[in-house]
Amino acid sequence: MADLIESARAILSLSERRVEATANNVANLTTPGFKSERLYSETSPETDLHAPETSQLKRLDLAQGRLSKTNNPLDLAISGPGMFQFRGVDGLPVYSRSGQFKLGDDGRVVNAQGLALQTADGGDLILSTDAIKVLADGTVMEGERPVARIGLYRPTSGGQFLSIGGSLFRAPGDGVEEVAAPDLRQAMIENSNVVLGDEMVTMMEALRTAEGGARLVQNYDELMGRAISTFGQGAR
Amino acid sequence: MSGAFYIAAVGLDAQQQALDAIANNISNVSTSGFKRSQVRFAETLASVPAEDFVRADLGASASTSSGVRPEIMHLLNEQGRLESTGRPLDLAINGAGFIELMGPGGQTLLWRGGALDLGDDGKLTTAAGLELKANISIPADTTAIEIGTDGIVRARTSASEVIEVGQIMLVKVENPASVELLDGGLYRPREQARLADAKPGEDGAGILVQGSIERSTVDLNQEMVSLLMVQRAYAANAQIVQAADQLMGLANGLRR
Repeated sequence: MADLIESARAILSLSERRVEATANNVANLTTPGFKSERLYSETSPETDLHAPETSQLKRLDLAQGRLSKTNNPLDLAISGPGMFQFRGVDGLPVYSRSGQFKLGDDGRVVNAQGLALQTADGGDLILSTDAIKVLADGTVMEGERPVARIGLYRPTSGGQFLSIGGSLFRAPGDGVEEVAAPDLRQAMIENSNVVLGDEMVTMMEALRTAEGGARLVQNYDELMGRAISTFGQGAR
Repeated sequence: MSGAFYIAAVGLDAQQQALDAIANNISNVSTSGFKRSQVRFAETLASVPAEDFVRADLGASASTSSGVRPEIMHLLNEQGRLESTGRPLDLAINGAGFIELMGPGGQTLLWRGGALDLGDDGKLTTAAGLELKANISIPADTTAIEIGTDGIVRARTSASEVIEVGQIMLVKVENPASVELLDGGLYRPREQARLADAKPGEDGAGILVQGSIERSTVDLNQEMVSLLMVQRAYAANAQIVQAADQLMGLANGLRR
């Protein structure tokens, strides 16, 4: 019988996490480069009685978002594979497809989270002006002079980027390689790939599942109550 | 406690700020020299666990996502369309430069041009009465003022003489983020702002155009589309708040 209550608990907690993931997706409906997150559950292999029945997995939908024009020279969108490389707060590189940049105080090109964009040769991209031209292969031109090249990276041989959130990634264990034929679009952004309809359906489904879980708990409680009163009478 | 509440609340707040920016853009659709601002969203991460992002086993670790963060950027270097007014004291800049003004407290203010005026002492000022840093005095018997594309101001006196009275210089702002927007089409450079002096016509600073004003860079179509998007996103976030509330209600109703 305790298994029943454990299952109900797992159902309730899973639904809550689902709604949370949906909340984050919806909050980032308009965040460029954001990839929607989905929660999956699978039956837990453990035989331990006290382990929850299901474990939850987070997966990202890495589909390309639609590109839209912004007319800001420091907005860059990636069409096709690859991610920009940034210097993370701990010094390790992080990757993202979100390409809305601005100039930091010292001329460094940073994203909205303040992480510095890295060039293909390594090192921060430093500009003296935002009147730049970025070619499709990532070459940055100040006037007629190429000053740097922005590299796009993807995991080597079939690996996958490890997600930190919906828009930031770490390199997989096998490392990354440069994308051979990058396709950058200047003055455009890649929109978030969150589909509002899907999110609402997921949310409704999670709510109904939670209701089911709650019923389970109530039924269990009722059964236990009845058992106690029946056996209590018998003993008298 | 469900994080969905907070995440959705942050989402509502972000869309609200986006709405403010759009409203400001739309209300300035016909303000001369106005530069539109753009809202940028970025995901916020609450805590980043040190390693193992592979399969975020949410049972073991807290969710790292915590919503969205809006940021408002002024797109200063976007050129507005020039419109000829024929008024000799209207001045526009075709290019990325700014005209330096002397603020009331002596501080530097930046201006994208607009209507000029003559102060009581014959000084060239903006229509709002702020003096140009170039400090140009127009002689009392002037009948016409000419401003060249290179910024040189010439006064034609009643004696049909043309005298050069000064030159309006431009400054280039290297980083639009280092400038803050004031009202009346004025900008104030922050302390760390790098301003580069430039002669009109040189280094991409742009040229001065007399008798014209620069239209606002707001594109009404684009703003309207953004407005609809913001409205829908706001409603969706509100739905999430309701769903989170229902979940909490369920949990509260477990014990009858």
